[in-house]
Amino acid sequence: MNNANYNANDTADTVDRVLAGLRDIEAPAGIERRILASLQQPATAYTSSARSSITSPLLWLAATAATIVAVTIWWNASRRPTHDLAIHPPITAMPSAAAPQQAADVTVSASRARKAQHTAVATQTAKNSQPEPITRPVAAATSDTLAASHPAPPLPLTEQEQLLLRILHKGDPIELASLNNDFRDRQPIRDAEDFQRFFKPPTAPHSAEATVDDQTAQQNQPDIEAQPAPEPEPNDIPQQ
Amino acid sequence: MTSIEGLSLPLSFTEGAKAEIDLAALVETHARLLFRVAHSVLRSSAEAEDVVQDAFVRVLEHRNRLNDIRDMRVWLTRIAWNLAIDRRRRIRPDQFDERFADDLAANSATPHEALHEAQRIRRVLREMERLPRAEHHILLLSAIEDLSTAEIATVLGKTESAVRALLFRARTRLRERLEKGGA
Repeated sequence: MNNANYNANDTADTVDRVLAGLRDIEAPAGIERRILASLQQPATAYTSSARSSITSPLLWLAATAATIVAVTIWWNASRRPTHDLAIHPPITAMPSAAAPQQAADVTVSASRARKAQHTAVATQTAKNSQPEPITRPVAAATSDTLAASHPAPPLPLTEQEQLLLRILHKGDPIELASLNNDFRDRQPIRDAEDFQRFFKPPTAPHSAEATVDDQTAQQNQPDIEAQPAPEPEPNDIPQQ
Repeated sequence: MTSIEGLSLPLSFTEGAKAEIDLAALVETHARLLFRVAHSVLRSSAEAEDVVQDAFVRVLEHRNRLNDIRDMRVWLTRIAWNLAIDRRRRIRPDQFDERFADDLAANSATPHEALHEAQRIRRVLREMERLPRAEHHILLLSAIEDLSTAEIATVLGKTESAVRALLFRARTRLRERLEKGGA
């Protein structure tokens, strides 16, 4: 029993210790600075391997980028023979008496010289150009920046612009006319004039007739009031 | 896809400055919480920092919609959580647990006790991984006391009552399994 209690307590303590460890873990110092710095360089991937060993992956990536650019330049140069001669040292025909090994050595050394030259050019080009995208999502995100021209994407329409478009598509002439500032400003004046026209105050003859009618009504009223009260019914008189 | 011309954001000057200021404020405010969220899943500082950076890259991609987001903290937590879960699938489950357990047990009195403690901690982590997924996730998120039950519910897409019930069930099941195996 005691052993079971001990195990139960021990288990609970261990679980609490694990959860406390997860809760109390501290973020590494400078995490905010690193994140902001990496966000300002969109083409730079920030992998855990880079953090653990910074120099070797960067060198590998730089070498990869330089190789790609070198191959591209070599490909373009190989398609232009005159330019090719200017860049590459001319490889003269070997004498027939020369050993094949010497020919191979010369070829290898010439190719190495070309490669070194290309690498130097490529390194310079790589330094001047934008950094190569490393990860696929980042490459996709930055592919637009490498395009020849890149207009900024249009901003979404504001609510007012959407309302305007709706009016234009609907084509209601009254709504279209209300877009005109002058028309809109004169609208209250027109409304006031319409109101005055509709509820026009009565003219003088109309007012004189109205006065006569009033007097007639007033004269009739006293006749009504002067009539004697009706005689009570015989049944209404209480009999003693 | 949002594009970035060179090293600057494709916004007007004032909008760009405002967006950069907002992003810096977001990083300053939420980076450490997101790190703890990611670390609870991955148990590796390096992986967790990667996840936090990925989360803010997503924020950068959606910066035009930041004004539409009501609760930035929960939104960011959800992004970091999902990224951490995705990353967890790509690594071995206990790849980083050993080091985490050793670090936790390092404060024990003697090396012998530290060794035993580390073994117990690793066992707890293994049993936590074996819990049903919903219970496991809620147990991890609840360990981060910065998140309220409502926030956990929003991150996981559940109701608050479901979160409370699942948390109780997770703790009970974990304890039973550990006691059965003898921690």
